[in-house]
Amino acid sequence: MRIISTGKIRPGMIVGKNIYSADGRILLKKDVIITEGYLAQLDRLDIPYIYVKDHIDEDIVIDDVIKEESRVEAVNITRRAIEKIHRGRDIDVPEVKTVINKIVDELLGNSNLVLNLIDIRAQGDYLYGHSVNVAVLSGIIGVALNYNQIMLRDLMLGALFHDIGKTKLNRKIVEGKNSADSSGTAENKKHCQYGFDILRANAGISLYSAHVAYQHHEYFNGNGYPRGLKGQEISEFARIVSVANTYDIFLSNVREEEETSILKAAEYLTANCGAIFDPEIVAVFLKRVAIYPIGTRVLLNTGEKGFVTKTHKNFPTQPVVCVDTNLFDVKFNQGYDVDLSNKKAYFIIGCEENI
Amino acid sequence: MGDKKEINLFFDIYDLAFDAAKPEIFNDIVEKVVAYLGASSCSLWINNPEIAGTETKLGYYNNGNDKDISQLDYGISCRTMASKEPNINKAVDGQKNKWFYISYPFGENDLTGCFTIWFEENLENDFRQSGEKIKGLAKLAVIIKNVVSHFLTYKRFDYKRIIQELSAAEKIQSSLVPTKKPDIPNVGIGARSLVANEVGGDYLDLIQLDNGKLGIAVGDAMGMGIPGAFVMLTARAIFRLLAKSKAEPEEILGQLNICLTPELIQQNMFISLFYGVYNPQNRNLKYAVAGHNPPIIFRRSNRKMEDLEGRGLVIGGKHQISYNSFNATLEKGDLMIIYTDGVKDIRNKSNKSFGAEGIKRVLSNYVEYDAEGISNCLAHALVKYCNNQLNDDASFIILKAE
Repeated sequence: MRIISTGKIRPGMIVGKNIYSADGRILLKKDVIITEGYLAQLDRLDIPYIYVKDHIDEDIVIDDVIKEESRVEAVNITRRAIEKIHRGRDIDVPEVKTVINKIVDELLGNSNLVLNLIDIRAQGDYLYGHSVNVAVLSGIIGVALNYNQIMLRDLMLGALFHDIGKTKLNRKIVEGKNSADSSGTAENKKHCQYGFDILRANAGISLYSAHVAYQHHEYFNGNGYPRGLKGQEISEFARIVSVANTYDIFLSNVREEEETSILKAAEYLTANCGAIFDPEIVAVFLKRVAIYPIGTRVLLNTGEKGFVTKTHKNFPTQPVVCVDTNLFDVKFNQGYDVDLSNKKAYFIIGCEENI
Repeated sequence: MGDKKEINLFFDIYDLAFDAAKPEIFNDIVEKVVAYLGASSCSLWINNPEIAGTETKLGYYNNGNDKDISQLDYGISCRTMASKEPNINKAVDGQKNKWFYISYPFGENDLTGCFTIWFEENLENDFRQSGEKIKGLAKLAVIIKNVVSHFLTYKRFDYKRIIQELSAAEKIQSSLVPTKKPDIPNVGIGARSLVANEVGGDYLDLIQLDNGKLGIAVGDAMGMGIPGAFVMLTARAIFRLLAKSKAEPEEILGQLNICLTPELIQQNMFISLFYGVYNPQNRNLKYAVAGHNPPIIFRRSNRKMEDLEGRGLVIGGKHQISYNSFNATLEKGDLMIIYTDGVKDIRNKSNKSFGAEGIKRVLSNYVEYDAEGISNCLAHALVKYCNNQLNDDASFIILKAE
């Protein structure tokens, strides 16, 4: 299966992956054939991309870093927790910790933890899907930094509720997206303090997790908010969530004329190392992000073409490519895998949109 | 089975080859081989003549048996091409099917490859008992080599068009560029050469020196195309000899200048050259510069890009030039790029050149990747910037201190 922007979808294409609403309902089901009606619905739901598959690539399965049902459950539980806070009640921490522990186990059990899938969600339930994905992305960074289970859990708990302070803002923040530059109004910035207050008031939540809500908009160079903390003064959890948060916002904000948004997100993170982000954390993160996700059709420097079948952690620019078309454009029924991290004479010079 | 069928096979192959201009003929050729031998499938491979270290599948035929042995075939064929020896054996594929294969190399020098024939396991004895068929393989190898060679040479007008349609000259490796990178710990290296014409005049070299040091050379023959390349080949030969001696970088450039200047003056050419010796133990670089662009260093500590100091006259400028050496020390995570004029002179549609600023800008977007990844990203950016219209060779070496 492969990812395609909504503008390029045509009736007849087959949906490659379920898209869920925040309460766990399936908005768009896998294996369904797209009709005009579905196209209209995708527009209404404001979904920027979906995964589709056809006979060429139906065998390519792209795995999420965690199980689909874990993610759906996490989104549901997050929605419930945030709604409770909105109504002035307390978060059911044990319920949240259970699902986070499950996810921690799944991340730790994945020996080649590389991000190949883009998390797609309907924009109407943006905050919940966003919170869960930021937690998962933060978890990936934590695993790469060799965090133990308790640290991972506290990190991901903080990441999950990093924006919980927004429930106290005067607008209907639960709908709608953030812009990539932090929404800078003074009112808006208060969500950091609000979030910190909410989380630290809860006996079941560690102070480290609470600080994520407080500090995730601090900048490495001290120009962030609310307190202008600098460098190591910012808690490591918060520095991690800052990277994960920005990455997820970037990917949900890309419009159809952009090419490989993953690369753009990576560029943005790198270009702002030292200024906004901790360079060590960005370096660790980028090693786990597939620039050419599994399923991407690529053109090699030899003139051959194929698709990515596996991404190595630590070498995201040199994946395993199944070559199925030779340099004379003769296509073979079955390709063969070439591992670019071993065969250094090969490199990728282009991918799908440009071929 | 006997001579007659064998001769028919050979005729058929030549027929196919000399009539058709399409690359699909290789599929047809191996189909004939499969039919003649009563095999299940056959593949035809060559070492890619343009890019060392890569292999290309020219043709494949499978007689309707849909058991997939592509991966196995690839591995075995690569081994045969590397060893240049016939490889006859049994194998079991991923679906536990049993096979008997003959992987036979052909060609020599510039054009080498192999064909690999697959039989169902129970046919092994039949085949081994037929001495005729085994002898026939050697003849088949000669014919296949002739056919492939003909196709690549005489149908080259098609081949060239295909190459041009690809993203610039990224795929043509000039012979002046290292095909194998030395394996030195604590150093990441990436090297790319984008060639404007078929023959490049930029020179990149990575030389493994004694006691673990790495010699890095980047040179540019001003005046590109074939004359430039010839001059560079000579320079490289002398240079490599000097580099292996214990001479210091500035002495080497001085010597090179003495040797080459008479010739260069006659050709009205200059060569710009950078030569540095990097010690991965203390991350120190000792270098000398002959009219070359100052390399750029990215310092991870303050995330700034700076130009390395150091100047010197181009080679071929004067008969006797004495060069100075300079030193720089890298920290872990620092990056260095040495590039030729072509990189900064690349122009976009509005005729604006990429410039050293362009290099610094693009580099800062990718510094967290390894040297290979950064090289890829920079090469893509260059090709995109000039929209595939290169007017001069553009090459660079990226070194990352680990």
